[in-house]
Amino acid sequence: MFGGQVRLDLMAWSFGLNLIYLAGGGLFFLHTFRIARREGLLLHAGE
Amino acid sequence: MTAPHSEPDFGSLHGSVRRTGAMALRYIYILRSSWPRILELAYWPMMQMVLWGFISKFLLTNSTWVAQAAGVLIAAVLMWDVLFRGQLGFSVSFLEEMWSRNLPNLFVTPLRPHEFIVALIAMSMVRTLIGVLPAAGLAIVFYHFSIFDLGLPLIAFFFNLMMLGWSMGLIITALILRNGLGAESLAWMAMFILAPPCPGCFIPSVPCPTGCRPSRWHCRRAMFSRACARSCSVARCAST
Repeated sequence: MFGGQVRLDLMAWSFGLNLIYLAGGGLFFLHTFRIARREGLLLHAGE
Repeated sequence: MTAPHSEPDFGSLHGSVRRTGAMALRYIYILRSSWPRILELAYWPMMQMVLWGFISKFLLTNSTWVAQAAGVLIAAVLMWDVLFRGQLGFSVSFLEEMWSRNLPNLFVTPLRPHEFIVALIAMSMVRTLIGVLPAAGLAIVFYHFSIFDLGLPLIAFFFNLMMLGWSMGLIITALILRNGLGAESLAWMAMFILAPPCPGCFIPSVPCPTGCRPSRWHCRRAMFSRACARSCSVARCAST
């Protein structure tokens, strides 16, 4: 609001970090899903 | 004479796209058939817009900081809502499967976990747009502030925020899957854990305690939020 400019370098940094976070989150979800499937947690989901 | 039986398409991209589309369509049907769900999506962002908009109007005449950056709080609220609704849209779609005990039924089908994730991401986008667009319209009508004056950078801001929301949504849904519905409230409160160390969306870094500042300096989202707010000012000046 004060500088009146779009910082493309910060935008690129944000995008790169977000890709890393998204990949990390996806891997964590898939890993947890594999554990849930193995331990039968999917059947008891919702209790 | 029986109709020819078509074999299910397990491995190809076409089959994957069909399954993902089917899941997204399922969530759209659920949303479309329930006006309280649609109302609930739009309600809180609009209430935030009313609250922060009037605060902003008051501060405009009582604060030189806000006077220099008219619309900063309104833009911040809209961007925060994009982030929060992006994460919540992802998590709530998953939670609806948990509440209806439908997860076992889904995963005895050929549906793969990554296809499920893509469908949740698509629904997160739809839910966020339903939630945020009315609030953006309200800002135009009440406060004569249009976030769309940002132009093309708004699309980049939007996708950056959505990606962070999806990342949080993935982590939260994984925790709920592992720990059961006892962890359900994480879906609503987890995003606010980010708010104190990265408050660049509402306030500058100066009032933050010194110990918090390094984490904020590394928090690109704070800089990104300020960049967004700055570019709002450019658009606003250009339009007047």
